Amino acid sequence: MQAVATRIGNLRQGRQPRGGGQVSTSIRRRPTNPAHRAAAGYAAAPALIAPHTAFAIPSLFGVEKEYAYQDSTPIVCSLAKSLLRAGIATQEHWEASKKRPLWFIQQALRGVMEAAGGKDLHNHFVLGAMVTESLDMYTSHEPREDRLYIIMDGDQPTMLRIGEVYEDMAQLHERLPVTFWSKFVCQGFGRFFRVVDQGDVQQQIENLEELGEGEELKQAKSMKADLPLYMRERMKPLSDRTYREILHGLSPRTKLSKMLAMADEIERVAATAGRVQLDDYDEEGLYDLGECYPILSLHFGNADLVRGAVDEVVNTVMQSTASPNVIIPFNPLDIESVRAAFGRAGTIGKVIGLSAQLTYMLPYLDE
Amino acid sequence: MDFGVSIGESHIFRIQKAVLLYGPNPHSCSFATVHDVRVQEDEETASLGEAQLVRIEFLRELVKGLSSNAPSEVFPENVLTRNELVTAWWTPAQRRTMFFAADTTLAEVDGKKFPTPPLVFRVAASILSVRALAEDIRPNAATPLFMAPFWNVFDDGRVCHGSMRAPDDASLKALELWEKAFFGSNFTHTIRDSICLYEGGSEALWKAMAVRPLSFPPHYLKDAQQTLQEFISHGA
Repeated sequence: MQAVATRIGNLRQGRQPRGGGQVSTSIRRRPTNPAHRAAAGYAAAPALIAPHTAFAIPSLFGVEKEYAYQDSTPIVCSLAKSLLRAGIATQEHWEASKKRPLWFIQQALRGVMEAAGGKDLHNHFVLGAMVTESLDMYTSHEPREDRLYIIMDGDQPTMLRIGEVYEDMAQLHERLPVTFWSKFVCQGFGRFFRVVDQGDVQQQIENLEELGEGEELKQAKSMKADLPLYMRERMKPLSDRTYREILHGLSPRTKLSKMLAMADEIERVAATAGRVQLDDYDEEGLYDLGECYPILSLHFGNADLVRGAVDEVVNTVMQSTASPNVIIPFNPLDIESVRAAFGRAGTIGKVIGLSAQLTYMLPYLDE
Repeated sequence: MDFGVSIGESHIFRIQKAVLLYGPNPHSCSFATVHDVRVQEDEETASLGEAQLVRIEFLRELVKGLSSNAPSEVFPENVLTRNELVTAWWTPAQRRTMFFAADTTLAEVDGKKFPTPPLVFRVAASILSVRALAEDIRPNAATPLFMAPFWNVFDDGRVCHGSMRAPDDASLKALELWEKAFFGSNFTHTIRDSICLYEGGSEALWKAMAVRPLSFPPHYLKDAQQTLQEFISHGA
């Protein structure tokens, strides 16, 4: 069509199009008036060419091919403006998003998280990140123009077997598995995302012991016996100094060394994300929501107690609308608030990327 | 990892079809064609597909889409029908001031009050049409209509707009403005003098009505050979 447009443009300017075709042929055949030719001279000849009589397909060159309708334009534009001013998004993002504000915001979030989490961000965990005005899509909770959220969530856990790795760690030090677990799960990935593991099993045992009787107490005893020794009691994690001494004693090329180093790094990065404070308005938005979907489950073996815990957690979650795993509230009108929220999202992106690298080294359940 | 944004309601409307209007000059269109629009894979260039003649069904769908946000309205009692294409209403017999252009044979009665018969107005595609009623009651679908005995009105009821300052739309608020536009602008010429049964035609009729303080005599009305239903459907 551009060729057609160019051709039509040429005709309007009096230039003859190159090549054949009905349009140009009809012009060339038109007899010129010798009197006009003599009077006007060669330089004015293009102006004397009569309009062509052939049909030409109208050009759509330059016609807008789509319109984007957005009913919350002020808040969207406020956020887009804040992202630009905060240096989080650039004009390149705007061009790449085809000048659509929502895509622009999406590009900004993607850019921040990919810059921190790298390509590993997209693998291993079933996760999504979103900028939204409401924590609960089914509620009539009135959105506020000074409140948006970055949420991250998923709806199925990545199920991995970690039992063999724990066994290897326990060979080095009986408290190493629980230390690794503390760093990777409690202070690392699990700070942001629901992880189902032996912690859930221990919670089930405690509930049975506290509230149960007869058969239930027997069941609690049996479950306790099924937990590996290194996780059966609530052991105190090792100090960072001892942990690193063990780490430095290992060849850096070994899988165990890499995993221990990565868990240490994940804990360090996660600590920089700080704590998110939800106010009454946010809490109100969560009022009708239930528990979060688990994103990761760590199993001792293929048919262990954790498997049952995963089923129980998922069943509970499905009884109501799940809360998002990560909630980062921010004010789109406040550049500092936007900068902090997207910065926090980037940090979590880094935790996800590192956690993906770590968990690549673990086999899937039933593998 | 997937990324998304969910703020308010958003839609992307993409170019789907193009309508091209053809006519002998910029002010009149003789026919229209509708084309599919093909956007190339690079999404930079678009081209027209084959032409198809625009048909009423297509226009109905188009109007339906464009008026999908039309508000729900409570109709005044005088409104007879209203959809995306046609609005029709009636007015009882009344005395109205009428204006005639200075260079016409009715200039001598310009600006006087005249008895007018009950009327049915219809606006379709921004064109006003008018018919007369024999009885001063709300008409029904089968009510026979009569020629409106005014100048500047064609046999089929269409009003020659000329320089009439017509409203931009046919919303309920604008109905009275259409009446004002019709009676407030100069009547300039008779389309057909035998538009009524008065001896001497419409010119003689309005000269007579100018001095007649009573109501418009319905026996001067000429049968339009049309019911209200037919009149309304004609513009739909």
